[in-house]
Amino acid sequence: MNTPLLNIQGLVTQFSTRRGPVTAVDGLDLQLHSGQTLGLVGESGCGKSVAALSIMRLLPKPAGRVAKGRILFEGRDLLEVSEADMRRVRGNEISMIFQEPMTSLNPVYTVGFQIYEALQKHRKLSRRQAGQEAVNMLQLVGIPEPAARINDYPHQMSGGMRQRVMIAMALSCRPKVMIADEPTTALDVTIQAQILDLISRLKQEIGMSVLLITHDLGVVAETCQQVLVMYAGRAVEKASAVDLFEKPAHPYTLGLFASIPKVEDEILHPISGVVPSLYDLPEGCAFQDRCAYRQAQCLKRPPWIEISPEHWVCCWRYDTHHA
Amino acid sequence: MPIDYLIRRLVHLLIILFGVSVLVFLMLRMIPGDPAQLLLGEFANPEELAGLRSQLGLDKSLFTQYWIYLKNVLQGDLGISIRTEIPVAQEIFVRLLATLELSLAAMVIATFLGVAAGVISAVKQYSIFDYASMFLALVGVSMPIFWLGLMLIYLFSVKFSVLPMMGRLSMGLDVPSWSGLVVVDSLLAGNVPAFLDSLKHLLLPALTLATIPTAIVARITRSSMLEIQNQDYVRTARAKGLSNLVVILRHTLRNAFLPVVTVLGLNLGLLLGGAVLTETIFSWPGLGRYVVNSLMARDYAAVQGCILIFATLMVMINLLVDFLYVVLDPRIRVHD
Ligand SMILES: Nc1ncnc2c1ncn2[C@@H]1O[C@H](COP(=O)(O)OP(=O)(O)O)[C@@H](O)[C@H]1O
Ligand SMILES: [Mg+2]
Repeated sequence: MNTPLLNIQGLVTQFSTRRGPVTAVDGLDLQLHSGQTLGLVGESGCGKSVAALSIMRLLPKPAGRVAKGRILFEGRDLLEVSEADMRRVRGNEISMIFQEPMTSLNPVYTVGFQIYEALQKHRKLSRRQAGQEAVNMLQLVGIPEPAARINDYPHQMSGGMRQRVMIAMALSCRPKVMIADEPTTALDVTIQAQILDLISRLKQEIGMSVLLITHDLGVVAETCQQVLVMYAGRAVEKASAVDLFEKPAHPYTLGLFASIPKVEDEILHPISGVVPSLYDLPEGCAFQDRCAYRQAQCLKRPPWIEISPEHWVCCWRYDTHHA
Repeated sequence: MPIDYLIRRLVHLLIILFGVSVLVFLMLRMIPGDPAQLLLGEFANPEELAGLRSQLGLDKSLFTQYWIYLKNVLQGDLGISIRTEIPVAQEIFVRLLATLELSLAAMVIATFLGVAAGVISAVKQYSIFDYASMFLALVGVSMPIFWLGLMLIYLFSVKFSVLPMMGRLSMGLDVPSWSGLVVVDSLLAGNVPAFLDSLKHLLLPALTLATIPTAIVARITRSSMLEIQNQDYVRTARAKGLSNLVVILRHTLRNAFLPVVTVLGLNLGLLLGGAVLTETIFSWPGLGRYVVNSLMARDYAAVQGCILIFATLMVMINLLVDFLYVVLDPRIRVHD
C-alpha cells in the first residue's frame, strides 16, 4: 500500500496524576490513508480521545504528555515541529470536532464569527470574502437560511445544529484530515444519522480523510473503511470494516459484537467483568481477566498476528507456533 | 435593554432612596448630640439654644421635620449646612467630583493591575509569579488602609520627597473647573505642568484606595480564568490553530471577565466607603471627609444629603453592572 497520510508509530501518552503516572495510550500504531475513514473503536476510558488529542498536541497541560512514538503527517513528525508550525497544522490541515456540541462553541461569540476566525487565521481572505465563506460553510453543512443564522449565538441553536457549526468550522480551511471524536454520542438518534451522513458526504466533496472515534460499532459499519479496536490504551485488532464485521477475531471484539442489542434477541450480552484500572493492569494481555479464551501465555504481552491479509490481531489465541 | 426594564429599575431607585432617607433621618436623630448646642458651644444660655432650635425647625415633631425635609428634597433642595451656611447640594457637588476622580483612578488601577495579575497567574499557574502575586493579593486584602496610606506618605513624601502628601494640586497652579476632575481639566486646558502635578497628587491616594479592590480583582480573575481555561470551547479555539494570546484574551478572558464585572461593581461601593479613610489621610477634599466632618458637627442636612447621594450612586452602579453584563453575555440578552 502507498504511504499513509497519517502514520502513528508506537505512541505512548502518559498523565501524571496524584496516584502516580498512568499510561492512557500504550504503543499505538495507526495508519490513516488518504480518502479513507478509519474507525477508532473501544469502550469509554480506553484512550481514544487521548490518542486524538496527542495528534493535535492538545493534551491537557501539564498533566499529559507524549512519552514515546512518532506521529508522521505527510512525512513530518508532528511531535517534532515547533508550536508555531503546529498552529498552522491545527484547523488548517488537521482539524477536530468534539463529543459535546453544547459546550464546544464559545457562548459569547456568534457562530459566524467562530467560523470566520478560523478562515481568517489560515486563509488569505479579505474580511468580506471570509464573511461570505462563513455563510457558504453554513450552507454546506445544511443549515437553513445561513445568511441569517450566521449572527446567531450558540445558545440559540440545538445540539445538532451546533455540531453542524462545529463541522463547518473544522472544514472551513479544507483540511486533509478531520478527527471526529464521538461526534454523535451526545445527539438524538435521528440527528446522529444526519450528522454521520453529512460527514461522509463532505469527506467525498472535500476529499479528506476522517479519523472517526466512536464506541458504537453501528456507526463504524455505516461510515468506515478501516477499523482499529482499542482496549485499555492498546490496539487489539485492525482490519478493513468488511473483514472485521465478517470475522471478528479478538475476544474483546467478539465481546463488543455480542453486546450489540439485536432485533431477534431481547437479552443483552455485555462483556463480563469490568474494565481494568489503568493503574494496575495485569501483566501481559490487558483483557485476560474478562476473556473466555484465556490461557497460560496471556501473562505475556501477546504478539501481533496477521490472520488474513491486512487483518491483524493482538492475541495469543491466533499464535500458530505455540498452539 | 428594553424600556420597561429601565422604568422598573428607576422605580426601584425611588423606593430605595425613600427608604434610605427615612433611615438616615431617624438614625441621625437617635445619636446623642444637639446641633444647636454644638453650634453655640458649651456655655450658651437656654434662650439662645431654644431660639436656634426653633430657627432650625428642631422643635417640631419628627414627623413634621421629615415631611418638610422630603418636600424640600423633592424640589431639589437638600437644605443649608449649619456649619457653612451654604446650600448642601452645592457643597456636595464640588466634593463629589473630587471623590469621583479619586475613585475612578483607583478603579482603573484595580481593573488593569488586578486583571493583568490574575490572567498571568492563571496562565502560569504554580509559577513564581503566581505564588508571588497571590501572596501579595492576600496581603493586599488584609491591609489596613490607614496604615498603608501613612506608610506611603512616609516613604514617598517624607523620606524621598518625590510625591506630595496632600491635596489635589500644588499652590500657584490654576486649572479651570470644567469637568471638576482636575486631571481631566488640566489636560483639556493643555496645562502640562498642572496635569503632571495633579497626577502626582492623585497617585498615592489612588494607590491606597486601589489596594484592596486590586487584590480582590486579581484573585477573582485568576480563579475565573482557571475555570474557563478548562472549558471545551477553549480547546476548540486551540484546535482552530489560534495563537496563545488570542486564545487567552479572546476566548478565555472574555468569558472569565463576567464574574470580575460583578466584583468590580460591588467594589465600587466599597471604594466609596474606603474613600472616607483615604480622603482623611491625604486631605483629599472629597465627599468622604465632608461626611465625617458633618457628622461630627451634627450637620443633619449635610449628612442626609451625602448618604442620599451615596445611595443613588450605588444603585446606578448596580444598574451599570447589569447593563455591562447584558453587553458582555449574549445569553442573558432579552430576546423576543
Ligand atoms: N486529564 C487527565 N488526567 C489524568 N488522566 C487522564 C486525563 N484524561 C484522560 N486520562 C486517562 O486516560 C484514559 C483514557 O481517556 P480517554 O481517552 O478520554 O477515553 P475515551 O476512550 O473514552 O476517549 C482515562 O481512563 C484516564 O485514565
Ligand atoms: Mg473520549
